[in-house]
Amino acid sequence: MNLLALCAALFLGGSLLSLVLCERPAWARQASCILAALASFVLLLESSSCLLAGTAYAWAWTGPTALGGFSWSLTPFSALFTALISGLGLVASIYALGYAEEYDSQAGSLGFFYNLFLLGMSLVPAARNVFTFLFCWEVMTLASFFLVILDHEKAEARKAGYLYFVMSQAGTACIFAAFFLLYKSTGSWDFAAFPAAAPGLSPLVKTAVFLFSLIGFGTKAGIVPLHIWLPHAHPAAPSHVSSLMSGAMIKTGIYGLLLVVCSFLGGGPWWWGALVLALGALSSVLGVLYALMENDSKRLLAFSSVENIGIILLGVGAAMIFQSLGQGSLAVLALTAGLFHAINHAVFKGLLFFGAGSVIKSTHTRNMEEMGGLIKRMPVTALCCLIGAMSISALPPLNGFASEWLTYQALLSGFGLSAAGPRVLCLLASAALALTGGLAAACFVKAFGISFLALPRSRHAEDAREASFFEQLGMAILAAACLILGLGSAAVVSILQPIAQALLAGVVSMPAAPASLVPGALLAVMTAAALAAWVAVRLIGGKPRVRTAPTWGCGLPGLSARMEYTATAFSKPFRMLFAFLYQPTREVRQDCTLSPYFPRNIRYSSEITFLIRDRLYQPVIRALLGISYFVRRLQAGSVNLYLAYLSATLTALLLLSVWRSR
Amino acid sequence: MTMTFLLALSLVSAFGILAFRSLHLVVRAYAAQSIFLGLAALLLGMSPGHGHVLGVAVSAILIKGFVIPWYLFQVMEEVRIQREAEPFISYPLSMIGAVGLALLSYAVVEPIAVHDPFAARGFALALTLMQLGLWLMVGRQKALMQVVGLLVVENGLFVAALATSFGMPMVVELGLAFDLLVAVVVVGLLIFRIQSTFSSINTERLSRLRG
Repeated sequence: MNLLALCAALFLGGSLLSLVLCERPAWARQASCILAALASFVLLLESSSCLLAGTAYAWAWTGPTALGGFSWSLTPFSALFTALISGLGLVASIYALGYAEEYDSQAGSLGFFYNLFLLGMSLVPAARNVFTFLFCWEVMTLASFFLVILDHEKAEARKAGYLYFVMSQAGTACIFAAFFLLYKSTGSWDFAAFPAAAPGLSPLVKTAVFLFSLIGFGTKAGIVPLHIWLPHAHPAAPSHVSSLMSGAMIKTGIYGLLLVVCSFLGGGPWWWGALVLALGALSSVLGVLYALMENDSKRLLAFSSVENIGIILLGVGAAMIFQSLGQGSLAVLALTAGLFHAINHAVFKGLLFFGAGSVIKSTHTRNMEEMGGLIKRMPVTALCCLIGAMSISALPPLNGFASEWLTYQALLSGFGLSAAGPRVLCLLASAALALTGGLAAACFVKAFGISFLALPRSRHAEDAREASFFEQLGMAILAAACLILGLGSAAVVSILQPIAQALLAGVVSMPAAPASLVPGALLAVMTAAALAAWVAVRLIGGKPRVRTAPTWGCGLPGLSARMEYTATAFSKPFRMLFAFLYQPTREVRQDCTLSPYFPRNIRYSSEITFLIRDRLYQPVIRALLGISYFVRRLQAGSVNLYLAYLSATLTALLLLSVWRSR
Repeated sequence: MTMTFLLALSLVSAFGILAFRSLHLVVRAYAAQSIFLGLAALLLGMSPGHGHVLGVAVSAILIKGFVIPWYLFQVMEEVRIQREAEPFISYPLSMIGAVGLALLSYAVVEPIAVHDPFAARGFALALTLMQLGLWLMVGRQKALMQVVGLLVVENGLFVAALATSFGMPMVVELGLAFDLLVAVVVVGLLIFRIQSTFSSINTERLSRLRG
């Protein structure tokens, strides 16, 4: 029995079973989640054994298809992404056992599309020909589209789904174009044939393939000018699906880009890398800047995904630059950093989305301004979220630190390059990464602090209950993974390095990695520093005294939640500092009875402008709508007019035939 | 000779259909056209070697010359519509257009007239009838008129089949006739429905259904 076939069967079984059982929502939920978890577990074992031992599995199924049938197999490179997807899929399925209770009214369709989504996504990296790849890609996209519009009664979800659908189909069209260009020059749909034919391609075709795949896969990954669907679509789905979309699905975009650029084309001129690097820097800075302004907890996480994709692309772009300049070991280092960050982002973003989901499930609001004080009511969730937030803010010794540290080292060693252009670029990119890191820390201080600390800001938050067992289990697994990946980063890097090396063909010699990453020593230093600080404090300050007193409330009697620092207030300095980007508009309305000095109530609203949406997309959308309205006049609804089109066409064709026979 | 005369009469009745305002006259003109064509087919069937056309001819005369017109009169009685008052294309214009279309159809067929004059003449007539039927459907607003236009198109097909291959096999021909009958009945019901919804059988009103 082939294991890939077994997984596919389990996923399909899960999706069908949840449809069959949709009259009994609890059963449907459990059946679909358990089968999805089983399938993901089998796939995780298989891909990690391939990753560790290098043994590949292949599964071909010659179905009735014109393009050569389905074919899958695992190489170490694809096994890495399969392991990432199925690992997160396993944990998400466990989490959903408890969490998806929230969606029991739609348990049948949720389970059906959830399993299909996982099936398509897990098999994308293993695909071995164009048809299989695009088929899995579309299954993944369409199933996730239906998951986004699961709450189709809400106009917001419908709008998000529409935007997601349009953007991802446009992206897929570009991927089609890239593959067709490759097919045209090689005459084969098989992935194995592409690398051999790549050296014979003209530079123009190569560049076209690169640009098409950058746009196509970049749309899925959420690179900055193409990211506009992401902050709408990810929050609209149920949280375990959001975590899969943010943690795993956007990584398929990175996989596809690496597959085409490194595996098929074997690298290119250095400006390809420069473009990727620039887009990565832009994505990371803009992503985190918009995340910082968000008060909707899931949208904040979605924007932060844009940021992290940017950081991954910084690694990938740097690797492409180094490869084209012949700096083999640096290229391997940069790509390793990028791949490592892809794994780490899956872990901590999955964790944070789980946390956000549990909080939303128990408070019934996504607005952080209505949360607060949850650390007392949901201690386990709070602890897991804290670990996730620390990890995404790149605090040692957690995993986020390890990969960002590697990325820094790669970028900074780019300063030793001889060519001036790449050198300046690397410097700018590392500056962008530093800015991103600082802003991300601020962003997650805000997210954690406003949601979990202080007093509850609303009745919802006061009545919050701790998450269910399975939710806690899912979060705990990922929190542990954050720690393990951080402490065991040296081992992870040693697994990733051969993959990066194999991807960057043309790297001749491989000296020892110039980067240093010793988590054990780091931990020791941190522990020693903490101990030293404690000792110093004891020496200077003497014995600690415990004094219990109410918080000082500026002399006012009693403290209430309305006096707390709000999320909007926390982000205000950044809003002022980056006003050129946000272009904030605010409105203050006062209702007064007698004089403006005695207002009855004051309303305050503040909004930021999304420049990319307004300046880049609006003109295009407006032009398209204008054309559509014009074309729509043809379709006036009059039967006579439609018949007239028919008659006119016939007459025109007859006239043409008369004219041609002359 | 008689054949040419019958075909010419069918062409004249097609122009009659385009020219009349009264729905009664239009349906009668259609019945006359069908009977002329049926008689032409009968004549063809009497010539040696084309015996199978006889059955087709008889069924065409019965169904298209009598049954369908009778049913259309019933429909007219039911919806109490007598005249086409506001055509989509005015009467003079539709006549001029029709002449143009007829000329075009004959011009199209001209190149093949050298090889097979009989087929060319028949096919030119067929094309003209189809074009005129379509033109009728374009120009009129009353659903009944459009039904007649469709029937004229079908007559054109009938002529085309006769002229190019001396009629299709009996089974196909009969099937076509029954199809036509069913289509007319369905359209008749549709006309009742349009009438009861919009209190008019002007198809222009259907544009209100657009989303």
